[in-house]
Formats: sequence, structure tokens, C-alpha cells
Amino acid sequence: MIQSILTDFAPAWAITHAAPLLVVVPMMVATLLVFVPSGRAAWFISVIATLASVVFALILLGLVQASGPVGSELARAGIDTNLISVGLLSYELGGWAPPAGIEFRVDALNAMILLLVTGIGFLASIFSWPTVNAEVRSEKQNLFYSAYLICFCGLSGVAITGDAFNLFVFLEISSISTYVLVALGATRDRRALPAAFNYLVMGTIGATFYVIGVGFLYAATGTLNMAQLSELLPDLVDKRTVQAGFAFIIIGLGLKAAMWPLHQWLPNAYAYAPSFVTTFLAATATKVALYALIRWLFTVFSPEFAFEAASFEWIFAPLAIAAMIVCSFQAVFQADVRRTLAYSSVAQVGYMLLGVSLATAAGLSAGLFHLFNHALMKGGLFMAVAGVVLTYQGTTLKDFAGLGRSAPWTMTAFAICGLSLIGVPLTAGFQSKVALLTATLESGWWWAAAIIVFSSVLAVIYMGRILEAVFFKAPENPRKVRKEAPLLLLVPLWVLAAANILIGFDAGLPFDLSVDAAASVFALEANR
Amino acid sequence: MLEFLLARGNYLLIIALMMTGLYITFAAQNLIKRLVGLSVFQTSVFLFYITLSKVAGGTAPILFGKDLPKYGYGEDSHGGDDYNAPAYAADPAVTESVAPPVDEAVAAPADIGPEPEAEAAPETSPQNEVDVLEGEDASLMETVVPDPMTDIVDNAAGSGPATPYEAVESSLYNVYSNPLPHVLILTAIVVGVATLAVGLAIIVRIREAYGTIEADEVRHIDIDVALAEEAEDTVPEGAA
Repeated sequence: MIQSILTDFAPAWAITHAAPLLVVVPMMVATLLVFVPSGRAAWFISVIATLASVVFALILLGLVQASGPVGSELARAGIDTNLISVGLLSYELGGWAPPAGIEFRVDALNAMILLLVTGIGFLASIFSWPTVNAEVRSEKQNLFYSAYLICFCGLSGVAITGDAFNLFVFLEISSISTYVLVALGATRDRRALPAAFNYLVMGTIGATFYVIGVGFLYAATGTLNMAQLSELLPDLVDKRTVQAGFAFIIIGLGLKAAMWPLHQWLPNAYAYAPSFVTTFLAATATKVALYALIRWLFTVFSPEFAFEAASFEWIFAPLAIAAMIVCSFQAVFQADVRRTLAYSSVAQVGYMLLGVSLATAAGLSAGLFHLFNHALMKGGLFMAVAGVVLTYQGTTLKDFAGLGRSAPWTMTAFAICGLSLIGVPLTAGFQSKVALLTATLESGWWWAAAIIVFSSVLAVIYMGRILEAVFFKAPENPRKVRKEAPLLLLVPLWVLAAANILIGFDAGLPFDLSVDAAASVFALEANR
Repeated sequence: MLEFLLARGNYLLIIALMMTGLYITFAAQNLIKRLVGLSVFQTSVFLFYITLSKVAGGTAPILFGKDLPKYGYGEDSHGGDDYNAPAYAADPAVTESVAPPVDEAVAAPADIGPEPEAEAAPETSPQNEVDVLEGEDASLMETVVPDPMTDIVDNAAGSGPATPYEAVESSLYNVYSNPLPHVLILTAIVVGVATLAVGLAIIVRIREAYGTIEADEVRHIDIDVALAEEAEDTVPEGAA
């Protein structure tokens, strides 16, 4: 489709250097933004920069699909995807060949994540101007966008790199700018500051744990290149060094991915950050960390290692289930809509982890599919909340009462994304939950399937509370004359809402992408 | 037992530092103390990497004597005129300068098989001798073995990962410490400094907003404000 058109018509330099440009363009533009005097110009430039990254992500996706058989097509034709070779792009930074040099490595798995991050980043930056203008002081707006682009660059860097230590550097690039962005919510609510500080402490501990783990693996293998690690590790599985490294890496990335019970930083950070930051983070940051986790679990380590199989069964699956139940309950009892959605995010991370912990191609692709859909729905929900913050300056349940009448367009999109979050048929959430249910039942985990359904019922309760307030309660606040969010905000919001419905009717693109990703992961696995 | 501990002195120190740092981070209520704890924790990891890079009897990773490349770096190697000779591994000057210590640290013990005590190792490179001695004769520890890394390396030794650097190792005259962890840790130190700076900046803002830098007091203020709001039933939460 569009990616293959792009690969046909893009200039040669764009095709050759798409991988580094995807990361470097936002990074360079971020430094330039410091010198841009007006916030509006900075906004416009960052929209252009993220759009450029979207184009490069599409080119990469097209190249990956062109360079190897497409798993989803083979799967439909009934061919065992575990046996095929996969599309793989490797870019040697500075011409220094891996394993000594740093390598950007794109396969179907991270092509999907890159498309998700850049796409959401692009939509979020279009929508950002009205809310940033309202919530960030005007002399800081260009710096705000600079920090945003750095964060964007860090997240796409995590998704694209094939080097273990480079991943840490990009993780910290994105995290440090995230702390700054969260703290900027202080102009609206000072509680953003302690939230950002806690996030900083937790995030740094997580990143340091990751570095310790990488250090252990380096001591055991002498390499930092993920591809070479995956070749060397099967012979070293019995070494305690490797196992300790595995544990440290899982904890470190689990902290960044808000794996229950390491999610304590998330609710406050999401609740008090500027609306735009919440939208962007909720849709991308935990997703990218989860991607990194999947990358380590499935392509560097292998589900066939005894200690990893044990960790799937005794760590990931129980923690995922705990997240799905405990955080859904916590979401029910929040008075603040953003906190409800934040706890729901942790619960949804549980769904994805459950898919991953099945350690089957079906489970992994269901988890990735849900990851993609969740980015669409949470992005949409937080965008709608941002619209409410902009027009009514409040995020409690009371502030939302009666909004269905005063802001019908915003709230209809909110409702669509909310229904998708619950998993109502004909929405994206339904498709991915069905995929997840099928995968759990295929593996014989009927109890997990039951818990997915139970947790969805909890989602009905917490989203139902909000939707009830929005549509069926009289507005308590006399200020609530008809007041819609600005058009700049409505358009990306409705793009996401429409995507939720489209995917609900036809799983199409994201489903194929996630099947491809899972197939390529398991093909890499089989080939080594 | 004592010998076992002494041989791993670095690691014990690192673990002690790490636990101290983590404990301060979680136990201190003062936000600045928390950041200090975090820095101590990170520093312990830096030391861990530096310990990994130490090669027994190795010198600083700066080529000298017979190992000195025939020509300078500025023009002939990477980044000079010869830009099209692409890769690192294909460029003898660069390969020699960076590669071998990794091999010293990791691949060399791999040659001697799973038990380092086994005298079967035919190689006579200094690294191998050290490993053999460490297993057999602890009395030589003072002189030869400031190398607690052996433990970790031995763990890796089972299967002998073939690194691409093996060929280069023999061509070096001196033994060098592994420079790669040093470089990694330089990066990590920069990251740590950036984190510390952002953290301190946030603390300044917390002090401006709350008038205190004690975490528990901040929490109490937040709770009091929230309760007061609840009581008054006022609308805008953002105005807190």
C-alpha cells in the first residue's frame, strides 16, 4: 500500500538512510527549536519533523516488507511461518560494521512499533498547539517542543537500535526529557512536581537495573550487539551470570513499561503532566518499553531457555493478571478521569503482557495487536480529556457531568474510544481482545481467558461511570454552555476514533502488522 | 572463605555501595538525599563496569611501544581521506587499537575450557596463566591476581564464544585493559549527570511550590489540600 508506493518513489538517499534519519531529524530539529522565538513556529516545525519521521517509518516498513516474505500472507495461505526467512534491514552507523559498531536493525517487529510511535507522535503534535498554548507559559513553548522532540527521538531510537547499550542511551534520552515534560504540568497543578520527581527516581532505578543486566551479559559474552548476543547466549544459558543479567534487564524494562507492581510512578505522572504530554506518553512510552522487553525476551533471549520459560509462567503471567484485576479495581474508585485512565493503562499493559507470556506466535501477535489498538484508544481518550481541560479546566468526574450535551463532538469521540477500551464489538478493542482470548484458549489457559472477561467487566464499570456522567447527568456547572474543543484538536481526535471503528470492522493493517511481527520474531528464533 | 571474599573485593564493595544507595533512595524523606542515594547507586554500577574491564597485568588502553600503529589516526584511519574503506573491522589500524582487550577479558579464558584449574591450557599468554594460578594457588594472589572478574569470566568460559577479535590478539605485544566499558561508562556518567541536574531542578521548583523539600511534608500538604477541597466541594481541582 502506501509504504510500497513510498519505497518506489522516495529518493535514493531517503531509502538508504531512512533508519538513522528517522531518529536524527527530530534530534537535530530539537536543538534548532531552542533558537525559535515563537511557540507557534516551534509547534509548526515539530509537526513537520514528526511528519518526516512518519515518512521514514513508512519507508522502513515498505523496505522490510519488500525484503522478506510477508508473514500474514503466508499464514493465510497455510504455510508455516516459523520456517521462513524474514525481512531485515541493518544500518551500520558511521560505516562501523557490527558487532563492534552500533547497528540500527529493523525487522517486522520494530517496523510496526516505529510506525506506531511516529504516527501517534505526528497526530499528537498536530493536536498539541491549543493545549500547549493554554498550559505552558509562552516563553517556554519553544523549549517545550524541543524537549518533546528529544523524547520522540529517544523513543524511536529505542525502537530502532540493535545495540544493547545504545538502547539504554536512547531510553534515558526519552526518559530525561519526559521528566522535564511532566514537571512542566506544574503551571496547572503543582502536584506535577512530586510526580515528576518520583518518576525520575523510579525511572533512573529502572534504567540502572537495565545497565547492570547488560553489564552481566557483556561479561559473559563480550558483545553488546543484540544479534550477536542472541547467537552466543544459547550456549551460556546455564551460567548464573546470564541468568542474573536476564533478571536485571527484565526488572529494569518492566519498570519502564509499568509492569505491575512497578507502575507506581505512572498514575501521578499521567494525572498531572500537561494534557498533551499525557496523551503522547500514554500512547507511546510504555509501548516502547514493552517492545524493548519483547525484543529481549524473544529475540535476544529465547522462550526455550528454561529460566525464561519459568519466568513466563511464574512472573509475567501472574503479574499480568494481577495488573488486570488490581488496577482495574483501582480505576473504578478514582474521582479524577485522568487517574482512572492511567490505572486502566496499567491494567491494559497487563493484557499485553499476558499475550506475551503465552510465548506462542498467536499470543505474541495478540499482545502486539492489543498494544497497537491500545495506543489508538488511549491516545484518543486522553486527547478528548485534553479538550475538556482546555474548555472547562477540570478533570474530575464532576467536571465531566453533562458534557455530552455541551461538547457533543469531543465526547462522542471520547465515547467511541471508551467503548473500544471496554472491548465492545465493532471496535478495535474487541478485535484485539478476541485475538487474545483465542490465543489463551489455544494454549489451554482457560482461567486466563476467564480473567480477561472479568477484567473487561471491570472496564465496563469504570468507563461506564465516566460515560454515564458525560451523557446522562445534568451539568452541575453553570459555565457549561455549548463549548467544543478547537478544530485542531478535534481532527486528530476523530482520526483516532475513526481508526478504532475501522479496525473494529476490519482488523486489516494492524492485525497483519502484528502477525508479521510475531512471525518474524519466531522465524528469527527458529533460524538461529 | 577469606580468600574467596578477598578475591572478589571489588564486587563486595560494589554490592555494598549499591545497597547503600538504594536504601538511601527509598528511606530518605529529604528529596536531595534521595538524589544522592540515586547517584551512589549509579556510581556503584559505574564501578562494576570498570571492574569488568580490568585485565590482570594489563596497562591503560593506550597503544605504545611495539603496538603503536605505523601511522597516525588523524588522516589515515576513520574519518580521513580514506572514507570509502568502510568498516571498522576491515581497517587494520583501528581494529588493533580497539579490539584486543575484549578478547583478553572474555575470549581468552574460553580457550582453557570449563575448569580453569585444568593445566590443559596450552596457551602461555599472561591472562591464561593468571587464571590457572588463581584456581590453584591462592598464595600468589597478592602479586598476580587483583582480578575478581575471573569468576564471572569463568562462568562464560564453558562454550568458548568465538569473537571476531581472536586473530588480532596475538599480534599485540602488551596487555591492555578493555577500553570499551570505560567508554560505556563515560556515556552513563553523562546520563547520570543529566538525571541529577533535572532532579535538582525539579527539587528547586518543589521548594518554590511547597516551601519544603521533605517528601512526607509534601505528601501531607497535598492530602490536606485535597481534603479541604473535598470539604468545600469547590470545582476546579487545578487551582490547588
